[in-house]
Amino acid sequence: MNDDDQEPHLITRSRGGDRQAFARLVTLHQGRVRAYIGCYLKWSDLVDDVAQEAFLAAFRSMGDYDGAAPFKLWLLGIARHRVLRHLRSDGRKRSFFEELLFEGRLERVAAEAERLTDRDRQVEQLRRCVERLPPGSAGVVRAHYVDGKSLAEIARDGGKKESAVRMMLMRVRQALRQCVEQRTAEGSA
Amino acid sequence: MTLTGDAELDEIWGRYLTDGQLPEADLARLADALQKQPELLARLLDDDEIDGLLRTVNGDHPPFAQKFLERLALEDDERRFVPLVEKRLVARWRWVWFVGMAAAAIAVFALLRPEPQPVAQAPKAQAPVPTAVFTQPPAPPLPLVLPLGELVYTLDFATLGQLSSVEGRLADGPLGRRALAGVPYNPDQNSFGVRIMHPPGLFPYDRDLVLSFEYWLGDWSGDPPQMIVAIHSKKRNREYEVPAPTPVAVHWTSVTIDLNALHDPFPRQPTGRVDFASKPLLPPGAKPDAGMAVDWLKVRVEGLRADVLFIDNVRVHRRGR
Repeated sequence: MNDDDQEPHLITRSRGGDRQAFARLVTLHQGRVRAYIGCYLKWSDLVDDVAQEAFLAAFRSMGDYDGAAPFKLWLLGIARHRVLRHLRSDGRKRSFFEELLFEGRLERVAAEAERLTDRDRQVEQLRRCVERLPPGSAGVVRAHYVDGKSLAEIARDGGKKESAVRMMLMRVRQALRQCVEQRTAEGSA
Repeated sequence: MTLTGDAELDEIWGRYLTDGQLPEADLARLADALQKQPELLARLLDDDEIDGLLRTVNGDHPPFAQKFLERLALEDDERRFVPLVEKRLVARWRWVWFVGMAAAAIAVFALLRPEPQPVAQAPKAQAPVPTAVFTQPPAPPLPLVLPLGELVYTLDFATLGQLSSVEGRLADGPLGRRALAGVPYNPDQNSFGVRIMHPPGLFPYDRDLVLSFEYWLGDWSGDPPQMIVAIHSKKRNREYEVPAPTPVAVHWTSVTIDLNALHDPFPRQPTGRVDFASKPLLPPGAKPDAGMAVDWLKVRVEGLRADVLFIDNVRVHRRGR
């Protein structure tokens, strides 16, 4: 990475309206912003749309970024606002269960302003925890979450029942959650 | 350790997470469990978050920054596009106003003109039939007529807020209709369109469905543009398309599309991946599966440079007998 690609330099150029410089910042940070939004919005195209909106808002507000907080946290703050805005404007009909889940999700995002550093760390830890999964679990995670295979397809490929694959994924997610929490706690200690 | 300690509830929750929907009885069971064990909500939300993280954290998205630049350019285009729409509409209404006023003036003149006195004259040759001063645009062709049955989906633009997302702008279109105005879709191909999105599904696809909507499209010179209707399935992660009949300019025009004609436009490998680098093993043309949730509906127009498109009265019916 040469000097022109250093984040502070890209930020300075972006403040002056340099779109290519900001596009470099988008490349650097899109993973964490999409991951953050993905925690709360469940549809990959919607995640991309809201992430794009967040970056557009950030580009338009570059003059407001004073460098007091790390740039990535400033971006996550904007992403958080976009998620909140989207959730609050989502007036579709929900079942009672979905309403409880929705309210819980909304409450979490609203209360998260001070926890963005932890959230960002969790994303990084999750990548590492996924790398440490046993081959069988890693294969199912890759097939479902990366290759987009349905559980029925994974079950057919592996000669298993769909319900068995579903339960296996659930156990893997729980193991990943514990791994992430443990590593995040160790990192902040 | 399982989420609830109840294998059946875990199984229901797992299905909800992967499918995004459940039968009412299962939703009621989950709601009941949440009310009995309030601490369960935090565990479900934790699992939900990890699921969301895994969906987005894996894999790089190199086109994302490129898309950002395109979207930035589109936003700038949009700023230029809105005045263009307004200018065109004002120009059209001004023309309609002029024709109306001219017709009214002629009518008033005809009424007030004194009755001509009969004067003996030599017989004249028959006067030629006057030609029309204004030519009307050609009438639109008759829409495809299909017998319609049960109404499966309808979109009233007054309640667009109930949708999760929409690409397009709510605007007052021609003849005072509140409609969805198209936005630039792919600036490199001079295309634009509208997209109506709802993640849990707008309606379940079936081969006996018929889509109808009305559109108003600006004028063009040369070959007519192509209008394409597309649906998307989140479950299949795939888009299915069908071309609409050749569009008509400057009329509110009804169009009816047989959704049985939808197909996947890409050749695919058996894994489902589009791979143009190697010879496709499966031909293009795969049809959507019956019952799959349609999570977006898109109308796009290709080959038309910087003009206007309005969409209204979107309906999906089952084909009648």
